[in-house]
Amino acid sequence: MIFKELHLANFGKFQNKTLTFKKGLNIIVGENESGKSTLFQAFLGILFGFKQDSKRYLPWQNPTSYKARLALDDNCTEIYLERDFLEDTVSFIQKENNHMSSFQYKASPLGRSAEREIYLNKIQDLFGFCEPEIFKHSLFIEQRSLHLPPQNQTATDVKQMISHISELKYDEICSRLEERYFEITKKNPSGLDKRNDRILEDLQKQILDLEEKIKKTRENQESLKKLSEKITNLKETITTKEIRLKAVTESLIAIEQLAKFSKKETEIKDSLNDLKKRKAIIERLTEQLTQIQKSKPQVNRLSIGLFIVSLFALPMIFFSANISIFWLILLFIAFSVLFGQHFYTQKKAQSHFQLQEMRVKSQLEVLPDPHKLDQTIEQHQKSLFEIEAQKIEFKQKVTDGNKAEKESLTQTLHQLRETHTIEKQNYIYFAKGLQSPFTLEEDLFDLKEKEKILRTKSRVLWLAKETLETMIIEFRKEHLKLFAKDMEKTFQIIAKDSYQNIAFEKETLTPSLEWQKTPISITSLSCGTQDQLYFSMKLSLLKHLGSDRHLPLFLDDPFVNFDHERRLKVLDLLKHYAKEHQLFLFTYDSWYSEKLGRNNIHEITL
Amino acid sequence: MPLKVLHTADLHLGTHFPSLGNYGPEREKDFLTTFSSIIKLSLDQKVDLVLIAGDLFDSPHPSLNLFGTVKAELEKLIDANIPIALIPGTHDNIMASDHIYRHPFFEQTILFKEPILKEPKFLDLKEHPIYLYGMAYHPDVPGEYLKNLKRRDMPGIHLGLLHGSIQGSPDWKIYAKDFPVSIDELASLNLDYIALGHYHNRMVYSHEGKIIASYTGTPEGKRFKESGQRYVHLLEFKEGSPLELTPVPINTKTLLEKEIDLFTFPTQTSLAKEILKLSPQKEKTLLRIILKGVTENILDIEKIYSEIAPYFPHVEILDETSVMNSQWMSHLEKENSIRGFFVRRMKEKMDEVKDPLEKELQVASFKEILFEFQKKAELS
Repeated sequence: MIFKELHLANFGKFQNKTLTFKKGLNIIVGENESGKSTLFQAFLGILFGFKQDSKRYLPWQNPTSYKARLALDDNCTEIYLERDFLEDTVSFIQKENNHMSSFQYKASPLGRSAEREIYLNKIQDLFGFCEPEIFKHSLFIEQRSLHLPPQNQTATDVKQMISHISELKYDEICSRLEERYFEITKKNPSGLDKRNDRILEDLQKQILDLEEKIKKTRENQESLKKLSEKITNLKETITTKEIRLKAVTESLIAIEQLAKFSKKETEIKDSLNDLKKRKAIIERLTEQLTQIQKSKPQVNRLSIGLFIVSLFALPMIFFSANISIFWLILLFIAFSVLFGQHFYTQKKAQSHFQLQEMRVKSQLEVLPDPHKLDQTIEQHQKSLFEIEAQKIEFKQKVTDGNKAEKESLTQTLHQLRETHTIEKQNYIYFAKGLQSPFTLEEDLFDLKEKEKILRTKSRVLWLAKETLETMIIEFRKEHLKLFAKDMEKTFQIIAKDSYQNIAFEKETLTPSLEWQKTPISITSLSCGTQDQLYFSMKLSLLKHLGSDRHLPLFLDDPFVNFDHERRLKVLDLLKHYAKEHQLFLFTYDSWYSEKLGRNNIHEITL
Repeated sequence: MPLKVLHTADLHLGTHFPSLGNYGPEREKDFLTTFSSIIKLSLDQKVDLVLIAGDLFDSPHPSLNLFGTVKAELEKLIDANIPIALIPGTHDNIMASDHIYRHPFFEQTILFKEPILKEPKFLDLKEHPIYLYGMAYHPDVPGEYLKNLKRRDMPGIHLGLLHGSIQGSPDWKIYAKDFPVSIDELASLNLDYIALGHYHNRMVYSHEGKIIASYTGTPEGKRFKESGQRYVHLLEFKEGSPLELTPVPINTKTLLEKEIDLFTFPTQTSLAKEILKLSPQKEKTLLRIILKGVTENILDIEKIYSEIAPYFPHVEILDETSVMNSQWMSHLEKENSIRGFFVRRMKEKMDEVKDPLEKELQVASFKEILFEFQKKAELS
C-alpha cells in the first residue's frame, strides 16, 4: 500500500497544495517552519480526524473551508479519502478495474455511530489498525527518537529499549498500574509490604476503631440495660422489705399496745367492779333509808283528832248524858293516860327511826354521788368498749414478725438502699457519654462502603498489572520469534560488515553478536549500531503490525543529530527498507538526496 | 381561628460528612441554615405550635457550640410564645445519662423525655384545648406501649409525636430497633394527627380518606438517597373541615443523584456540558453522577470532574460504564499488537470465568488496562 498524493485544499498554511508521492523513498525537503510537521499531521488528520485541538490546522486564509485529500494505491485499487474537518465527514472513493464506488461517512473521531464504524473498518482493512495513536507510534519516527543519551547506555537500558519494541510502552503501563495500586494499599501480593500505610490501611484502621467503639457502645448499652434491671429489682426488693418492716414494726407496736390496753382494761375493770359495789351499797342504803323513812312512825293525826274530838266530846257527853264529873274526870284521866302512853310509845319509836335514818344518811353521805357514780361507770364501760375495739384493731396488725426480724430487716434495708444508691450512681456514670449506635453505625456504613470500593480498586489494579504482565510475556513468547527472525534479517543487512553471527534470543530479543569471533555485549555497540538495531526493530514491528501489508514509514528527520558515520549506516537501512515500503523522510537537508542519488529517490521540495 | 402547626423531624444537626471531603464542614453549616429557615418560617407564618418528631440532633451529645446555636434559635419561638413540642429520636436518644435533653433549657419546651407515656400534656391555644401525646425513643421499650398514645376522651385537638418506622414504606428495611408500627395501629390511636420522624423521605398517611400522619423527611438531605426538594409540613386545623397539610420547601442545598447513559454523549466535553445543564441552581446543588452504558472512550473521570467541579459545591462521579461492547474494542481485537493480543486473550479469559464476582473483577481490570492504554497513547 502506498500513498500517491496529498492534496491540501485548505489546511493550515497550505492552500490548494498537491504533493505526489512514489513508491520507495520520498524525501520531503524544506526549511524549518516550511510545514513538514503540518504535512504529517495532514496524513493523520485525513485518516482519523482530530480528537483534540481540531482547529489547530484551521486554514489561515479561508477558515470556512477546512479540507484535505489523500490518494492511496492498495494492490491496484485506487482510494481517495477526503475529509471535511469542519463537518467531520469523509468521502471514500474506491476505484478498481474501472469500477468505482463512493461513500460519504460522518466519521468524527469521537463518539460512536454506524457510519464511523464502517469507515474505521475500511481503515483497519488498509492498515491493520485504525487508531491514530498506533499510526503515530508505529508509522512515525520523530526527531531525536532514535537518540539515546550517553548515560543510558547500559545493558539494562538497551534491553529496556528492546523490550519496548511495540507501539506503546507496555512495561510503563504495568509500572503505572502498580504505582496506582500502591497509592491505595501497602500490601504487596508478590513481596514485602511497603512500610507506610496507604489510604486503604488508614481507612481499615478507622473502621476497626469505629467497630471497637460500636462494640463498646453496644456492650455498654447491654450492661446498662442489665444495671437498669438490677436497679429496678433492687427498688422492688427495697419496697417489699420496707412493707415487711412496716408490718413487723406495726406488729411489735401492736403487741406493746395490746399489753398496755390489757393492763388498762384490768384497771378499769377493777375500778368498775369497785364502783359497782359502791353503787350496790348506795342502792342498799337508799333502800334502807326508804324503808326507814317508810317505817318511821308518824304522829297519828287520827289519834290526835280523836284526842281532840275526845277532848271536845267528853264535856259534851258530860253535859248531855249527865255523867258525873268523876266519871268524866276518870274518863279524862283514862283518856289522857291512854293517849299519853300512845304518844310516848310513838315518840320513842320515832326517835329510834330517826337514829337509824341518821345512821343510814351519814353512811350515804360518805359515799359518792350515785349520779356521778353512774356517769363514771358509764365512762369506764365506754373506755372498756373503746379498748376492746382498739384491741381488735391492734390484734389485726399482729403478725409473726419479731424484734429480731425487725432488726435484721432494718439492717438489710440499710444495705439495700446503699447498694441502690451506688448502682444508681454507677448507672449515671456509665451511661454518661453513651453514644447513639445509630450515628456510629451510619458512619461505619460509609467507611465500609469507601473501603470496599478501595479494596476492589486495589484488587482490580493488581489483577490488571498481573494480567498485563502475563499477557506481555505470552505475547512476546508467541510473536517475538517472528520479530527476532525479521530483525536478524534486517540487522544482518546493515551490520554484516562489522559483526558476525548476529542473532537474537527468541524470547527476550537480547542480541548476541560477534566481532572478530569474540562475543560482544550490546553495551559495547557503537551508537550508530544501536540506532540500526533500534531502527530495524521498529521496522520489524511495523511489518508485524501491518500483518505484511508493507505499510509506509514516516521519518521526521530522526537522524538529524547523527554523526557522519551513523548517517551513512542509516542510508543503507533506508535503501533496504525502501525496497518493500514507501518511505517519507522529512528533512531540511539535501544531503540524503545527494548521497542516495536523485534518480533513486523522489524528492519534493516545500 | 384555625390552629396552625409546623411539623418537622430528622434535622440531624451536628452530622459530620467525611464522605463529602472538603465540603463536609460546609454541609454542617447548611443543616444549621435550614434549621434557622424553619424557625423563620414558623415566625413568619405565625404558627401556634411547632412539632419536632425526633433526631433534632445527630447525637445525644451535640457540641456546646451547636447546642448554643440551636438554643438561640428555639428561644426565638419561645419569645414569640410559640410552644415547641419535641421527642428524642434514635440518634439523639435518651440512653446516655448525660443526654442533651437533660439540659434545663428544655423545661421551656414540651419535651417527652420518657419512653412510656403516662398522660398526654395539655396545652390551651387560641381557645383550642390541645392534648399532646409522645414518647421518647428507647430501644428496650417494646411497641406495646404505643397504646398509651391512645386518644383520651376529652374535647380538643389530640396530636401525637412518634419516632419510628411505618411498615410498608418504600425502599426501607425495618428492624426491630426501629420501633416498627403499622398504619392500622396508628389509625387505632384515633389521634387527630401524628407527626412522624425517622424515615428520611416525605410520606403522608391517610386512613378512611383522612390524613392521620406524615413523615416530613429530612429538611436537608443527609445522603444522596434523600435527593431533591426537602420539606416541612404546615398543618391547619379548622373546626368542621378536614386537616390541611401543606409541604413547604425548606432545604438550603439540594442533593442530586443522576444516572447518565453515555450512549448519547460522544465526548467528555459534551458530557461535561450536559452535566452542567442538569441543575439550574448549580451553586446550590450537591451532585452525584453515575455514568452508565457503553462508552467508546475510557473516561478520564478526573478530567470530567475538573470540568464540572468548579460549578457545584460538591461533585462525585461514579463510573459504571462498560467498554466491552464498544466499537473501539472490536477494532482493537483485530489489531496485531500487544493491545490486540491482550483484548483477544482477555475476552477468551472472561468467557472462561463463571463466577460473577470474579468476572466483575476481570472486567474492571480490563477496563483499567484499556484506560492506561488510551491515556498512555494520548500522552505520548
